[in-house]
Amino acid sequence: MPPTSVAKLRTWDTVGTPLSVSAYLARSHKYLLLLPLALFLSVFFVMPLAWLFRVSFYAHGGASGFGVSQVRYYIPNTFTFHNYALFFTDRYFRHTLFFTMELALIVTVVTMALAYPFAYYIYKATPKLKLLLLVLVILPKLSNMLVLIYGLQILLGNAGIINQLLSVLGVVASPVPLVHNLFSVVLGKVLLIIPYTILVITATLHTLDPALADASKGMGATPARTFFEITLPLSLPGTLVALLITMIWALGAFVSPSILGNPDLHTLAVEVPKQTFENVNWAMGSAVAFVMLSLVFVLVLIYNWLHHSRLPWHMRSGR
Amino acid sequence: MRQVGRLIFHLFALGMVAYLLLPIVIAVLVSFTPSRFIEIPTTFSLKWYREFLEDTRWMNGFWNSVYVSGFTIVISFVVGLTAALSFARYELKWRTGLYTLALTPVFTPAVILGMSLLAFSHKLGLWGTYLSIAIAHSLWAYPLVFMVLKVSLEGLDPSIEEAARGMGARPWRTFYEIILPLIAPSVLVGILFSFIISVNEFVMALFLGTVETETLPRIIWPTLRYTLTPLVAAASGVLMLLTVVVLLLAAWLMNLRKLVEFSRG
Repeated sequence: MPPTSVAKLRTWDTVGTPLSVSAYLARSHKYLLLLPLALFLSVFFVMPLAWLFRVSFYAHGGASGFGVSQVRYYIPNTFTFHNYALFFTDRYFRHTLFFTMELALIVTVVTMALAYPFAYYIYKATPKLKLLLLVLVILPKLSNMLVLIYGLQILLGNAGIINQLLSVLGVVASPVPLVHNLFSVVLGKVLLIIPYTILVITATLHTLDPALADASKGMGATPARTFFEITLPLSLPGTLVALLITMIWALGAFVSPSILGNPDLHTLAVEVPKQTFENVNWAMGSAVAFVMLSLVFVLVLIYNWLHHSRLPWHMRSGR
Repeated sequence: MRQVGRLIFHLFALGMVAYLLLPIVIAVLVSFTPSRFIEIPTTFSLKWYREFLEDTRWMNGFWNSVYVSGFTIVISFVVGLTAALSFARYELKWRTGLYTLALTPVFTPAVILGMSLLAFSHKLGLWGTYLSIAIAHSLWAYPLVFMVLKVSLEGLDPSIEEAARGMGARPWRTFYEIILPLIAPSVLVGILFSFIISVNEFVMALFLGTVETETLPRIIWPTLRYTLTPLVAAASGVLMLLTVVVLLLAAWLMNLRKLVEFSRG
């Protein structure tokens, strides 16, 4: 009963009539009901991130596994900038950092280039086909990401179906290396993200008023002109959200580079568990994770700036 | 010219469907091979599924996945439902900000969540418990429960609840007997989402799982990296089967509800 009860509570408040017991309870419920969310978010999301930041300044425990009886993940009560200094001076880490950003950019461009036309195709499809396509889009997200990557690996491998097909057709003499290179890493990561991107853009397109496109066509504009001058600009705000989500997840690429990549194609996300579990250096792992978090934060800031700045599409969509 | 453009568009869509579907289809097909090698089988065999069922490590992983998803459903349901109730019926200060904050964990890369929760749950002494993994999965699951239930609660006719109150029902009873049955389909969808997220989530489980609590995807991981056998495909098949069974169960429950409503008139 949202609107009426809120209205009542509000008038009572302003008029100053004493609240009845049940109304008082209802008013405190408001905060009581928010309590689980507030507790869960602060204890298991905000506090762990704050702790991550602290751990990233700890010194390395130094347990390499040989002759060390007690494994220490880090040395408590220390404070050092060593982890960050190493990160920004070491060539290996710098290379990983730049490759992560490069990969995120490539993955985002490919995802958007594939997702937007496909979302538009779904938008234009008949209701029955639309439902079928939406189910197909969600399907990869209902299955395990490892299953998807495994399937891709089989598909792209030297003895995989694509290479077999190519050699049967006589296109190539020896198998084309399709896996363990940038191509397969991008293909894998795009597959893991694109269902969300397609869904967000499809949802955006469905919020547009179809009368606008009809009017444009009615006034004699070609379908292409209608698309580029009406539909595309109007869908840009939602597409920008899809772009942000895509880029954030692309920055966190982990499974795809690990399985479909090679050591030259490792990202920060691959480095975090490597430092943490293989080198037993939780402090360094935390530092790398915190650098990732900062990158995400910068993206959100850029998005906010774009969202609030008066770019052409905002004027056209009447904001 | 326009015909050609349309044909290219259809072909593009077909290619996208193939891209989205082929990896899953291939992985499932391979799981039915009788051979030791990864290949599309010409004869059907359940050999690798039998091997999966007879291996205690894989079976332990299966049960660990089930336990963790159970905890995840409970946590994300409690957090998601209370938050949705609060958002749907009260005017809140900083509503938009709170809403965005509530959804933030979904958009945080799993590696960051995994690393921060590893360090934190180690500090709290939670590392190595089912609960620590379930908490991590809930960070991704509760926002979905919250969104689905919020939409459903906002769509309710306020007069129904007022009628119940007017007839003297206490708030708790009104909730239990009037609101809950009305939002039952969304509750089911929320539970389903939580389950699917938890059973399939891998990265956070990699950070937080230990030998005692490792979930199925976490056991698949090293096998996928180092020893490729069709057993991985069978394990993937089991995961998919688990998801499909729960989906069908939900569909069946929904229909059952409709039947009950129908028989009541």
